[in-house]
Amino acid sequence: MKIILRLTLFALSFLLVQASYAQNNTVAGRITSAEDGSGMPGVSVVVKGTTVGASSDADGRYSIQAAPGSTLVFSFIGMLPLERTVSGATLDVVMRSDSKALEEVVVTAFGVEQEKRALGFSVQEVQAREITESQQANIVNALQGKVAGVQITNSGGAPGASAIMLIRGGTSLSGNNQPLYVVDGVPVDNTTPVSQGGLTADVAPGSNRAIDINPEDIESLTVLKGPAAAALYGLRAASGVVVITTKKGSAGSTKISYSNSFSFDKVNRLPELQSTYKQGEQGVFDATSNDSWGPQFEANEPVYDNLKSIFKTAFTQKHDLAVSGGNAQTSFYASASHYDQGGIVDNTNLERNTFRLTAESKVGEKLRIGGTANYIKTGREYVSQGSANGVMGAVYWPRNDDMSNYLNPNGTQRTFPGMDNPHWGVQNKPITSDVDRVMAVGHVIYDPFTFLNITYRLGTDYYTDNFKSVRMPGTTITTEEKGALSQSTTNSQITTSTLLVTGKKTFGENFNTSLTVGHNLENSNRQTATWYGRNFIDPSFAGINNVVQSDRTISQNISRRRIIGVFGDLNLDWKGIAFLNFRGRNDWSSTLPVNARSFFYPAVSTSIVVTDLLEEFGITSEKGIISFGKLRASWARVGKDAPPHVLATTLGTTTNTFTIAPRGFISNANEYYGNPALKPEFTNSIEIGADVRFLRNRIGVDLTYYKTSTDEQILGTRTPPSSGSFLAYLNGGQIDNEGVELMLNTQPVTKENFSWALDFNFAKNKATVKDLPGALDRVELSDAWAAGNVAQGAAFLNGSLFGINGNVWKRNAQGQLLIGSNGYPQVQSLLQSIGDRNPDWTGGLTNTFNYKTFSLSFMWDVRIGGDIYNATENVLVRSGLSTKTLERGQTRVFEGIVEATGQPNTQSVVLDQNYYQTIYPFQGYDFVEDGSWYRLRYITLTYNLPKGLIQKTPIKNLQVFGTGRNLILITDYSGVDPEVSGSGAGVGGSGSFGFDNLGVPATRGFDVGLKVTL
Amino acid sequence: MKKIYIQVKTLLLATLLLSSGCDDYLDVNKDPNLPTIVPAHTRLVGAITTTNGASMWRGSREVVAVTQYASTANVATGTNRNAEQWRFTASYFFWQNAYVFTMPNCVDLIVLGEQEGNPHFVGAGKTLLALNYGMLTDQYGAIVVDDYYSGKSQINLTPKFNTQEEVYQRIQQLLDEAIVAFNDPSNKVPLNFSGGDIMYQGDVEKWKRFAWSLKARYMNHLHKKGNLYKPQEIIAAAQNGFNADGMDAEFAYLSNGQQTDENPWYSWGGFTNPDRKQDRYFTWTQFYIDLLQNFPVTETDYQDPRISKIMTPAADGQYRGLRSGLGLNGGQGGTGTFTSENDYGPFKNSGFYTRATSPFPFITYSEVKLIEAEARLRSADAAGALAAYEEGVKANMRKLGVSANDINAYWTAQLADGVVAHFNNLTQGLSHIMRQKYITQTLNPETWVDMRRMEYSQAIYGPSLQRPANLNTVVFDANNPNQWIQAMVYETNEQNRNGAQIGDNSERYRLLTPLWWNTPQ
Repeated sequence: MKIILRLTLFALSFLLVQASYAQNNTVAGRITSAEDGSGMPGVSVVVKGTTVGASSDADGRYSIQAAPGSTLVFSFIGMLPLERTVSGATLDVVMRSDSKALEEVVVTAFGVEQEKRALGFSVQEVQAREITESQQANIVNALQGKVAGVQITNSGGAPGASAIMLIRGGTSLSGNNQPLYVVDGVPVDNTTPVSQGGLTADVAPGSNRAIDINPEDIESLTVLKGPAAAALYGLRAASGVVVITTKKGSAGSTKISYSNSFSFDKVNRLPELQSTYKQGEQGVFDATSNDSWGPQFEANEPVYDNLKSIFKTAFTQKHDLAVSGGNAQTSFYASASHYDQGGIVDNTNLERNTFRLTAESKVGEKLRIGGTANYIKTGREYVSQGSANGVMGAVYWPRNDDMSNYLNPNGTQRTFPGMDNPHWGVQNKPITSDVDRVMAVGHVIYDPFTFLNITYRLGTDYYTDNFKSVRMPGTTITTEEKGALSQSTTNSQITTSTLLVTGKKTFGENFNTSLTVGHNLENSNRQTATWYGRNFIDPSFAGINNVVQSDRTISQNISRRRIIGVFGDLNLDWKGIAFLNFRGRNDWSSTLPVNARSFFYPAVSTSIVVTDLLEEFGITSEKGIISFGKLRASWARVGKDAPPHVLATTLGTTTNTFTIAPRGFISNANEYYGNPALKPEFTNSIEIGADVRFLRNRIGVDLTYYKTSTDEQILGTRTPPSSGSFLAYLNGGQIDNEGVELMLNTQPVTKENFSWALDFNFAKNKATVKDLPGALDRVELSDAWAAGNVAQGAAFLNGSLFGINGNVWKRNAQGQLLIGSNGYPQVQSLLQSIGDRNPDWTGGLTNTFNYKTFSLSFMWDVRIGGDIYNATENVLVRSGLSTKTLERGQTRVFEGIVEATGQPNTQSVVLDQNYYQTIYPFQGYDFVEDGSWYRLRYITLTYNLPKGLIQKTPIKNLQVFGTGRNLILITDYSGVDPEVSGSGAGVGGSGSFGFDNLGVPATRGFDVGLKVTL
Repeated sequence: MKKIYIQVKTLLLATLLLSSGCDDYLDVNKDPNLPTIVPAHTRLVGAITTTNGASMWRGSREVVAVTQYASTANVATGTNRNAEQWRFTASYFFWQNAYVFTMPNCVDLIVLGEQEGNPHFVGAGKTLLALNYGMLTDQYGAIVVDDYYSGKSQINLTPKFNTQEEVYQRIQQLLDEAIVAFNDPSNKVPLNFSGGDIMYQGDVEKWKRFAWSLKARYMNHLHKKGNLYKPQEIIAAAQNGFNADGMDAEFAYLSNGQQTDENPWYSWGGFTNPDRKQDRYFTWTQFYIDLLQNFPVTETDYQDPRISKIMTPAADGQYRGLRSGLGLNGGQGGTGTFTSENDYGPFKNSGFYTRATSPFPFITYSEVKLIEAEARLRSADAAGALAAYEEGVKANMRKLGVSANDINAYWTAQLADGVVAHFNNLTQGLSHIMRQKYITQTLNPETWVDMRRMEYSQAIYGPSLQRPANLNTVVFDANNPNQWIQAMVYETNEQNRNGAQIGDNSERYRLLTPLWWNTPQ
């Protein structure tokens, strides 16, 4: 986008160059970008105080007639203006981007660029450099800490782990709260499967499919946070939109760039285990037990660090090659990348190969045709988690035994009853997912008149995901002892057609208008076939053909959705000072009843540049301390449809393993009760904000307040069994989100050879459940159960959307513990709210220093508040490895009332194995911890080789860098890195972040690499 | 101007085309994975199987410990122990297995039968629905009936509860309507059209007798309710009910299929552990063995010939059982002797009720005759009661495969022990009837209704009937041997989502408060 701008100005500048041709005292030089050292075309160069000007060529070279001692002013949209005094015949300058420049344009809806100053709502843009310098495979993670009001939680340290993105909290109690991802105007799939091959997400959490996007292909990324910004994208944008613009070619000589990086990672943090007591039961050693309830270790007896033994140092390498170029008619950009990420656990990795070609060609003066084809192959290997049989099974393993010795002499698995040795599991229970994906977009842009533009775009995003999970013979998993495999093949396709017609007209001199009307079709298909087989005939071969027919099952799931949308977008502006925008869209969705499938939603926003307004009316003559001030306000409403196929109740042929095989069709107790009367749900929002800049824009403050309310939600909820169903879809419930976002951008130092930029963002959001249907006081998320089934995610009425629903001690109305007749506290059967996973606030602080061609950048990522349910610790208590169990053997009189007698408890009881295994871990309250953190998310140093060193080589630019990730983590959380999610991004509603559930912990590491441009 | 007019017209036309094509384009919401409606004849089998293997199974799984049929080996921890020692909480799940897994199938059968003009399916649906309501109300008291899933309109998010008295009226009404439906000659598709009538293979007469039998059962519960108790109507209903062998409401479970095709007491109900001590139930109780080895009233030793049909003896050929609440360590009958695994025969796969293919009867001819015997006894027809009793006992023996000689010998011994005279005394007559019902209703939750109606009386059930050891003393008074468990706690899911309707759902209140039919008028 910036390149296009540069080109446009470049073209315009020829006129100026012509005009200034006759001057004397030629000064020449090259203007390069501080970002990548490349030459900057189209930069305006003016002799200060004159009308003499010039413009740089495609390689950034300029020449201008200027007298020695005069001052040259270099300016370019999006860059900080520079003033340099002429002292010789040569003057090279390096321009730095002013990412917050006011004239900057941003891409909002459907690839439409809008001037930022005209926007009546907050958008935040992230540049290519900021994305790549974080060294993240997953584009979602690359945004961590960068965007105010966007909370990103990577679900663990396994390569390919899904990343959860919540923009301004969440608006849906049960549905997906992940934003829509749009690449070059076409929505792409970011599904995270919540179960694959019959394996639930807490056992084998899948990737979010945005992971297929190569971050190096991205030119810029805009986050549309609120409904006002996102409304044109229609109902899928209710949770916000991530608008991605990819790199394009530009006219000029062909540019080749190659970059690489090599990374090393290790596990960031592990919980502390006790090393006082060894294997056994009730204080007595028992070599067959997987409990650590035995006697104390002898002196000098080895204590194995079994947990650590499962982790290793991971190695990752990345190679990116891009070629771009073009001429006046045609431009192209081609890239290939290879990314091979190793995991900190054996047999875990992510390999992504991408190929991309984008080109655009002019046909005559009025027509442009272009397209992009992107092929991606992503393979992932991972291991099961979330239970004793998973990768963190060491939390069950007595420490007097060496877990890494996982084979018996006869080659069978060496383990304890009821669990697989994690080392054996890592080798013998592989999970793989292989994705082949094609994203293709074609567009035609026609400008029949200067005031009219017609754009048509057709895009499709198609992928196949082949999933396979194997449990080799010898596993202890009940019914799978002779081997089992689960496989699935998913074919997913989203095809989008968009037509935009934009007309512009100026009335008089001061009023500009533009109107866009558009039409949008979206067709989504997703089909999954799942098959399962067990009892391998040949124990060494894992394949469905290796089991007899009667040991195979197969099932299919198809989901289809189609949306038609018609929309209009009217912009009015007065002298570029006051802006007014009206938007409206009508959608027709296949997922709603025929009489409710059409729904309209409008938005209105305004922006007033106060500083210019005052100047216009002569109230202020020139800019003082306040160099720029803008106020903005918007009101918007956005509709949302239902999930596909929920209007009718389906019949099924199975129930569960606790009831009879029904021998025929029965009502489907496992599915939601269908609702033929569903209506679309709407989110209403207001947003006001101010953008104020001081001291010639060197300090900028952007403040936003918003409030959204989603009511009559399309809610998949739990219903009382006496209704005839456990689950039903209905309209009901209300969630309010209220928050503030603050962005502070400063440039404390902008010297020629040294500059310092400091950016800070802060966000606070409160998501409150205001209303629930029926007599419900909470919406439980069964996909977010943590190990031991003591706690789960839930939204509570008049409480948080991101609550923790857990077991608690039984208490009387006065809050006193009700003690059982045996002297121990008791767990009550009703679960209660035991925590709130929503952070109090989140923030990011980025510092960037440039010294000559060095650049140092680091980011602190702060999350304050937000509870975590530590299911890992809960398991450690049961197994006797938790440091909490070091109080074993002590006696205690629990303070409370004996329930049977009503008298105060005086009975002294022993805190023994039975207490820690059958009483204490069945309440969840003691396992809720504060998950606040301060982390140095990354620190990166780049160095561009001075031009002098490489000017005799074909190399235009050579950059080397080193990055450290997560090097510092300050937290009071007792377990692994508190950036956790039990079941990944696929869980709807409040999601599963904040559940530490025996997953692969997050990592820290460092990267080194280089970038060469030819 | 004209140009603009044409443009507007074109636009309107385009919109029109768009909106009609639109509907076709958007018509992709029919679920491609599963049907939403199938004919009634393909729904019958599911209504029957779930009523048995979801609803009644989950209404029995823990209750057989309360009624002291069976006992677990390990009483230190676990859900098996909890049932045996009356540690019931809101985590008791008969409720959802009836209301969600089972009864929507019965309601759908009624709705489909009405829509299709096939009243026989309406009758089958109503009969099974009445049975489910009966089983539910007899464990919980007030339950949801009027506001339950209708199969026609949206589900009710906060269904109101009906009192047990109202529920009993609804049960009789459903059964009356079922009988009318079975008599309706307009039926087009027979019940067994697609082989779904796994109980009666399309014999509507048997279905009708099934409905009458249930009418008798539920009327018979009301003997404490003054003039709501109508023994003559019970006798009439019983006579319209099952009147011969071979019409019991039951079906055989299947072997060689999926595990859940098998009888739950054999495998998937908690009986798959290779270590039988970990099974949900380890062996039968000494109480049950005592009932099978002693005559009522006199407690004369006589080994019931059914014992070897129901149970397998220990390796040494002896029948031994455990005392409820004590586990294997408590030894035979709690005596502390015989504490090893091999001293006891198994529960699983031990005989008529717990094999892979064993049926799990809803109601039997034998039970109907014993209901008739009770009604006649209470209406001072001792001879009629005795005759019904004799047929009830012998029918069950015939069903279990006891030889004619053994049956005759048993009855001769009963006569010798004074059964005729016993029937002149209400308590003694009831002791005979209830102990025989206990045997004939093995594992059926109906036995719990009988025991509560009889106030868990030792005069009825003999001296062997005692409250379990290691009782849940948070709720039950350790020093009051007459304080017995009366009802179940409503399920946690109902309490959480429909709490206002439930009232006091504390364990203390729910487990100790007698149901409506068990309180004197």
